[in-house]
Amino acid sequence: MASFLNRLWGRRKAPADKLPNQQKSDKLGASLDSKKKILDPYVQKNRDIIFREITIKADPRRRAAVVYLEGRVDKQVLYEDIFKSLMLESDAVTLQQGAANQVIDKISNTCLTIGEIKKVNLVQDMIHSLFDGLTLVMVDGMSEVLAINITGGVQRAPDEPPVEKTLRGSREGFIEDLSANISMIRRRLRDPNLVIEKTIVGRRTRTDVAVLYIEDIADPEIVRNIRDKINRIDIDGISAIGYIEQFLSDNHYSPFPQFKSSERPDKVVAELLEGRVAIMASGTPWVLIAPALFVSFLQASEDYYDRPMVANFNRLSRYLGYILAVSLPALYISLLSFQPELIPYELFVILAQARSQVPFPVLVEVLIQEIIIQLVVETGLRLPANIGQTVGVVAGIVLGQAAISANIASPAIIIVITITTIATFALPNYSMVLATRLIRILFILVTAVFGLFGFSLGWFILITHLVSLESVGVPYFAPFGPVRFGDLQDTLFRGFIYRLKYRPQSIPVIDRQRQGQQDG
Amino acid sequence: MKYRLMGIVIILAMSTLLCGCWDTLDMENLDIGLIAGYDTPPSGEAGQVAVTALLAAVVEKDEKIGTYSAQTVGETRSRRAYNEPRQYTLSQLQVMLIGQDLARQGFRSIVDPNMREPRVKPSINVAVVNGRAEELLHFMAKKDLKRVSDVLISLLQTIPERAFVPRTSLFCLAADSYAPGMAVAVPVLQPANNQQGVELTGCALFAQDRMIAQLDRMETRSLVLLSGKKAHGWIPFSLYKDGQLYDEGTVFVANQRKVKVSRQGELIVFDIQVTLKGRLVEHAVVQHSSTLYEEQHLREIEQAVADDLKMQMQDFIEFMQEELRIDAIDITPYALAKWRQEITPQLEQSFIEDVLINVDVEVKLQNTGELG
Amino acid sequence: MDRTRFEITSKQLIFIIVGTQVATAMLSLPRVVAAEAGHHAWLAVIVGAVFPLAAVLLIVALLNRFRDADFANVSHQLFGKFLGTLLILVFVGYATVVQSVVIRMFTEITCVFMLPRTPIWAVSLVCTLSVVYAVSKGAKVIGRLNEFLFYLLIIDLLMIIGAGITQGTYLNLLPVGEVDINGLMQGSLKIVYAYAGCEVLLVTYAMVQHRDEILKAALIGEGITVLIYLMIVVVGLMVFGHEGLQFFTWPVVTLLKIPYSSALGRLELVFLLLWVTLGVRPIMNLSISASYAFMRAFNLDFNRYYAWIVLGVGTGIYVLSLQPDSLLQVFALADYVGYAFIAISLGYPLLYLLVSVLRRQKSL
Repeated sequence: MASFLNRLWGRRKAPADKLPNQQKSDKLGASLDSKKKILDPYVQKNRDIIFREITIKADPRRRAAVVYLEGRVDKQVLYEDIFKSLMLESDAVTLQQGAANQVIDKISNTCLTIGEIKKVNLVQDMIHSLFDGLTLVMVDGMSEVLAINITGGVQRAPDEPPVEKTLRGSREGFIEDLSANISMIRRRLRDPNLVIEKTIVGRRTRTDVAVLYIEDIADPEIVRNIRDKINRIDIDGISAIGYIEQFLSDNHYSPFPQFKSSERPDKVVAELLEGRVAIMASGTPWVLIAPALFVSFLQASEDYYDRPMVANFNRLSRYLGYILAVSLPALYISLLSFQPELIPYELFVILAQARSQVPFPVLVEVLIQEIIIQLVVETGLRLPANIGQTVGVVAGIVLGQAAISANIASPAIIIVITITTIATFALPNYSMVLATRLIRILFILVTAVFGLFGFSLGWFILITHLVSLESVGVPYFAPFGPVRFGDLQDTLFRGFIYRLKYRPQSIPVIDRQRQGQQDG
Repeated sequence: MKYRLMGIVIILAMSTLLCGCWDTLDMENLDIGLIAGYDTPPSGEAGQVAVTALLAAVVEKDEKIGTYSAQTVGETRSRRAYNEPRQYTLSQLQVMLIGQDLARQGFRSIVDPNMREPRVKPSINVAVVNGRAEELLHFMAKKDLKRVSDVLISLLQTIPERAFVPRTSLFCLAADSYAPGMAVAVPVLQPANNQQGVELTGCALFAQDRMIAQLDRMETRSLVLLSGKKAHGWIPFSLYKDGQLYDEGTVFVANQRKVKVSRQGELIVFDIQVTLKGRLVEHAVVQHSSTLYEEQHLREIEQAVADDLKMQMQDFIEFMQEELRIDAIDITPYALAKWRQEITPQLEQSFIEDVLINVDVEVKLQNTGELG
Repeated sequence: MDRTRFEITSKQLIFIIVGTQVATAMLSLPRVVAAEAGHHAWLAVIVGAVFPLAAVLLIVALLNRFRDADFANVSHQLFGKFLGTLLILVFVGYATVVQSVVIRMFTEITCVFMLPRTPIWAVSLVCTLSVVYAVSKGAKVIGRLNEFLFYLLIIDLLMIIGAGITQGTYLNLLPVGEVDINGLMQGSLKIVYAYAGCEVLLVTYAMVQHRDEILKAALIGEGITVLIYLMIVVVGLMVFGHEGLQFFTWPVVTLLKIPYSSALGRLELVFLLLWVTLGVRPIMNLSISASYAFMRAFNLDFNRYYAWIVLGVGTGIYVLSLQPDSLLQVFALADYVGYAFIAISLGYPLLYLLVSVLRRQKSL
């Protein structure tokens, strides 16, 4: 199997799209007309392909053409550095020196003031280059075509990440453009050992995918594992990085996210420094980070920016939030319907009084409220911000109040479900929020049958499941099961930064030392 | 394949299980018993025991009191089932009251069903009613005590913080009273003399499962101090100098006890050291200025309190050794810890009568309040 | 065969040994021991520890003689295909019976304290299913799970200690002299049931990554078990006294009902909440030993058959667990399990050792 590095873009043999009249791997003909003939069917169907024949100033007899996709190229550069250079400024003396078959190199070397140029000589490569957004320069009599990367066009400017908000961290968020995203990482992490491997995924979408890691920290085994899995993806197209996530995950029968995704470069850099691997795909402002541990979904980047005393308090409350989010409604059911002895008698009497107005059993009451909240949340996510807020207010306040006064719900259940919902969104990661919402329903069902016994059995199964999960071969529930004492100082609590001298044990790395001499 | 199959098995099992929620209770359809009173049946009714339950106000506005009598406690539950619309639950039971008559007959029949039921907390408080438990509850309800349960529950729970009265849980009653040669003290309630509420009159002593004596408040205080049960309370004092009343007032103290056991030949000697620590609440010097800057005066007050208490305790010990003939002050375990094999057989016959019990009382007033 | 799914670390072996021993038996332990040994019950715990200790030493001595210390492999080498397989099957049968007794005891406790109206079959079913789920994930997961659950056990133990210190008195433990030797011996025999579980070492030995650490790990595991039992018995004695212990079927649970707590009316439910996850550990560990031994005995393909065998063992446990009619029968069975434990955990290694010495198989 060819090494990954050789599979740079454009060299991939996978595409199965049909080329009219031509074999895929045929060499290009020398004449400009033969190339034009190949491109003709595309040019006729696609109005955004511009096929522009030009005359090179240095060699007016030779026909040449520039082909590009309108909208994918930076027009400023195209006009200044390609058209102008070739048509007005190219120097005849230099161009005509040397062998005739080197004309294309001469053009590349002397006429085009652009950084990224490569030569293609296969039909398939030429077509892919065009559709990848490269600008083709072809010259009559030369079988090779220059593919020039001046992609540009309209891009979203980096913005504050909408989902992962932060108070003290960087306000920059990833955008849809891969090279811009990579540059954000490079800007923050100037280590020469930062490796960025690129590949193309999707036969038709031809999405650029990059794998980032720090060579002398990250475990080669993990990198190889991820690389292999990405190379094995054979799909017509991916429209977001979520596709890749699902292809990479080890355990499909699990609601838990086995990769962390982030839209913040500062977070990704921190993860890279711990020896993790980041995966980027163009078109998605999210970056996948692997391996992910369960605890890392309960950690926010502020935890590291704030003072430990405060940060630990926040982190503890997040753990509490997770436990509440999973189990509060279940606990409510099991206490009310199974083990009322655990409720202080004053509260019990009050609850019973409220319940006596409601015609449904506790389970049905909880499920009704749970489903309503589920719908409210789902609605709020998709609606524009201001309408979403209105829906939230209407649903939350009006509906809740009306339900109580209509005796459809008791006040206690409204409180329980509200606390649960709030607790759910205290989790910093949205994938984990989704998982939590599903698990909560399962917990409700188990406790409805077995009460407190079901509750702890539910936790047992949940923990068994968590312990059995692996993210790219790394135990998912790591610092807790298997227990790694060294890592416990950055799980429930975060120790002082100056004490975190080593990278987490839970993630295999080459170099564990974080502070002190060894690390460059 | 195997995962899918296992998933199916688990889902199938879960869904069959969901069909039967065997243990669910609908809390709104419960008769929540907060206080249970146990009596002998009223005259004219057959059976051995009458159970009065005070039910929490859930659907109705007021708490409900209902009595059922039958041969056994379990049978009264069955009676209740036929007569009441809702299911009776003991899960919130907070106080057990035992009527005087039943207490004399023995409480074995009522402790067993309650200890056996896992829903009943063994930590609930027990009290003896001077008279009938049923009547006390009805009396309190009639006196318009809005929440009879609140009054009784907090009274019994907090009493050791205010007075030298023991708090006894169901577990203590059940476990300790069976220990041979030992007695358990249970607080005694009765309708207050002014007919406004309830009052604590002291405690009752149980040996095996029978009430053997009732103690008044003074005796109860001696018992609590001697047995080392944690309590706080006010103790009045009068200080005499040369036969004249010199100073009088009150102290508020908490108690502590230490027991030492030794042998003089065959005779087992217990030395009980009772220490009271607390503050001066008030004092009114009759002949002198009322400031207390002389330490000597404070020591005299301490001594007066100690002497007074010591006398009462010695009286109580005498009473205990000669009339009760049972260990009510929890000192036997100290002897057992040294000579278990030797003493165990003696406990069945006579032990506490034949030992020497010395008491020493020390009072430490650490605080005189804002005034000097 | 996917070997990595069946690898455990020596640290996890400690917790597997603790986890297999400390479970349902723990709750009734003080009563059972004190019935015979009186206020010296805690001494009986120490004396009784001789049995599992001997078992561990024998098993390690036996398996150290083989390069491939797989239980099935060793049986086949020493006794030939037929007799070896038979011996393995006896072991599997024994493990299944022990599990069914444990799961039944577990179910009974759950039903008494938490679910009085729920039928035994339902509670037993969900327990078995969760065990089957865990076991089907392989030994690695079981090892990690045992490790994690051990720390929950510590929380439970702290609750017991707390209750013991506040409610109990050291006077019940005194005097230290006056030992009743006969009662002590009787008590030590009674406690053997509580030590059942260290025979999983026969099978798990082959799963441990570093063989040289096995003996140490197993002994530490035993030591922790003895400490936990010691503590429980001492606390039980402190709170109830040896006579008082006899009134309660599961004194360790009752212990937690005594302190008054206004917020959590029944403290023992909180204890049981954690304990439910602890009670299934021995079933889990024995189940994986049984399934693994069975797989190896017939040399089955792990990827294809493992889950089925686990399910089969699970079904066996489930059916057997429903056989006893009442709790009293279960307690009687538990006594037999204690004797069977002595027979298996001492008899097997002794027999094997004898044969291997006779056959003069060099320790490789």
